[in-house]
Amino acid sequence: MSSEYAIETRELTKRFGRRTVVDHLSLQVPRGSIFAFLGRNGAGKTTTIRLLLDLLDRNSGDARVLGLDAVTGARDIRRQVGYVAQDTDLYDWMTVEEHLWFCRGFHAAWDETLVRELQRKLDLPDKQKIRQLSRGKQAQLALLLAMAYRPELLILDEPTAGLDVVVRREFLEEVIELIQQEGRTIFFSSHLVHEVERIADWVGIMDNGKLSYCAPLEALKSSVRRLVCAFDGTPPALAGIPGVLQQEVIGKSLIFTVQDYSPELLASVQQLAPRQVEVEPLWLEDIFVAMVGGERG
Amino acid sequence: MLTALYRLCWKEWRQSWYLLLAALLLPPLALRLSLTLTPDQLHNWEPLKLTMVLFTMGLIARSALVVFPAGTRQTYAEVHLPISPMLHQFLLFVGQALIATCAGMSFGGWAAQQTGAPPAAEMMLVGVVHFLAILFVTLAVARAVFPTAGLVVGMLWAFIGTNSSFYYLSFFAPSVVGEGRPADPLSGVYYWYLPVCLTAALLAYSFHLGHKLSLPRRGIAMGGLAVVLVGALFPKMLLNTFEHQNKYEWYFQSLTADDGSVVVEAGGVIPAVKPPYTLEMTDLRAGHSVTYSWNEPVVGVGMPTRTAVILLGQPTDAHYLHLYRWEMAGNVVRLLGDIPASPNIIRNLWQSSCTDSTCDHHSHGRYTFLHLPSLGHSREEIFDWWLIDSVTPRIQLIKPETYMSQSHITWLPDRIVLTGYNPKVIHLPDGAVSDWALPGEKGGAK
Repeated sequence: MSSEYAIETRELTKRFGRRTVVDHLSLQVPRGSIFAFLGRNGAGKTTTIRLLLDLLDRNSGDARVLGLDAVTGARDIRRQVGYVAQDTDLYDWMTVEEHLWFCRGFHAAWDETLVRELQRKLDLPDKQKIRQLSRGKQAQLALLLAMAYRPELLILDEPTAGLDVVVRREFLEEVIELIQQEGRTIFFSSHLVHEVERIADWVGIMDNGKLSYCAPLEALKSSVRRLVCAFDGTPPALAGIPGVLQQEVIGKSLIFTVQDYSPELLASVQQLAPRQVEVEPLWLEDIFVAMVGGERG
Repeated sequence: MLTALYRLCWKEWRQSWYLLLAALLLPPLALRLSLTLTPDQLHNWEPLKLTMVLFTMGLIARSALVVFPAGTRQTYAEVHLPISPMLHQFLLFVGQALIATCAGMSFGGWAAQQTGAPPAAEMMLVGVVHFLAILFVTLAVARAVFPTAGLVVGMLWAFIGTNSSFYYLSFFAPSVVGEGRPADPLSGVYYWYLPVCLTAALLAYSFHLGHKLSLPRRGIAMGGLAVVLVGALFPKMLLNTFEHQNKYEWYFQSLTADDGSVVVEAGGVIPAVKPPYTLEMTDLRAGHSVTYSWNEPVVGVGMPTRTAVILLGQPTDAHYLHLYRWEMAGNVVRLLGDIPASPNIIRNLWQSSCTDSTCDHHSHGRYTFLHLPSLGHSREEIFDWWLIDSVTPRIQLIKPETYMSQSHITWLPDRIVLTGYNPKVIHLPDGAVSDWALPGEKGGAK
């Protein structure tokens, strides 16, 4: 495996009992990308991240992070990777100041200036015990701790889960701002797709432990289209149209979503003799729903 | 590296300082309690039991609250910091081990002060072993199954250790020691238990660190480990019990000369379970004493003269008893001969403390009349009668399997008269035994 990828897995598999949670996952996350790792709850996103960070044992396959083996290079990986867990696991009996001091001792690359700047920006009071902070503030502190040593790779595992809309937006704005300042790789797991769309440039979609799609966000958005075909009578069955993700009939209209949209595909649709055809671009959330939640064509 | 180590220590201290302080308070508390309450009293002290129950319930509730809602079962340091997982676990372990050592020494020392029977250092060692064993097993296994519960588990083991200590302290209770029973029938297990627990703990830790499995699988694996542990412990306990049967602790019933001027008593380490078995004969009048060590346990049969002792000894599993005569003059021991006997019958002799009534001596010290439990009978009241001539020397079975109903022994120059129900006469020159009759009666004494 080459190290041009920040994260690279090959046939990575994890089973819990008879249930395969990560199923022969081959994933490549380019360096410098902001990679949105999407999937429904239980799709295997967190398990994949825990495998990458050697917090779980894999059953088979390989995983490399920043060119290092996820198991044998676990300590070095933690030096270069910032990680914000799904549930903040901070020591809630410490004050903010104590937690920062505690973590500083483990990272040679700790940037105190950056920490102070972020702390001021995030309004995290030194003397406040962590258990007294709101969940949003705790998530921001976890992000600060993950950023403090300027890691090459930042892994965010649903960091905004459980936060209210305002806090979520504030948190994401901080992430965006930091990303703009640094050219680092962000691996961002979430099921809140509409929020990810604002910051991601790559997308990987997990479905039942498998990677169902992985490409630049723009490529995905430009390749997936919704077609609304109006007929004079009952719409015919879709036959011979490749890549249909989702379809439904409403009255005399046939509405379906296709992957890999092209002029040739439109020509095939025209052969069904619709009275009118409208081609609509989709939001990432709609694409996501079509891919993991809709009927397969 | 040092900075990281220091900060981890700081974190552990901040998380468990009150436990450490409590552990440091234990020794003075144990001392204070030992002045007011015996282990027996403490064992039956109702307020303490109630406190223990409430403490347990509180801990269980707290454990449930801490462990089960947690989304992740690993701490921040384990997940985020670039440190060896072993280092973190080691520090956690050391902190708890300090508490265990303090607690174990306190309880051991306290028990030693209460009973005074076994040496204090040994009791403290047993206490430390006991607590460390509990620590190793509970902490390691619980960390493997519920990794977030380090602190709570630490408190749990402290509770378990404290509570079970009352059980093991009951072995040292004066009421038990006073009966002459072995001080702690399981003490050997403790010494063996520590390496087993340590191994189990290391296995559990390795398993925890190396196999990040799901909770059910970890539970199954830890269950398997527990089965191995208990499975290994059980035969050892049986073996230990068996060993105790073969290695009874040896006590020696002191002997005193008729005029009280010479005393024979045990010397060296008492109680002893292995050679040498040392006796000390002291002439109080002359202010002189001699000691002699045997390779087999011995019991005193009696003192035929002021400065001579007749002793019985029996090597382990031997089918005979050695009969010795130990003279203070010159500190000489002479083997008079052997007496056929059941293996290990010597234990019955020293445990029943009946040696005083099993023999009697000629006033000149030449002859000894001995009645020992019969080789051919299991009934305790059936005896073999032996006549011992220390001069010849000669050991003669004069009447086997006899019901000892005579209550009084009278020594005459050439015979012994046993009176009571069915009186008998023993003729010393040849050892012949006949019924005793009043003068004038047929077959009566002349």
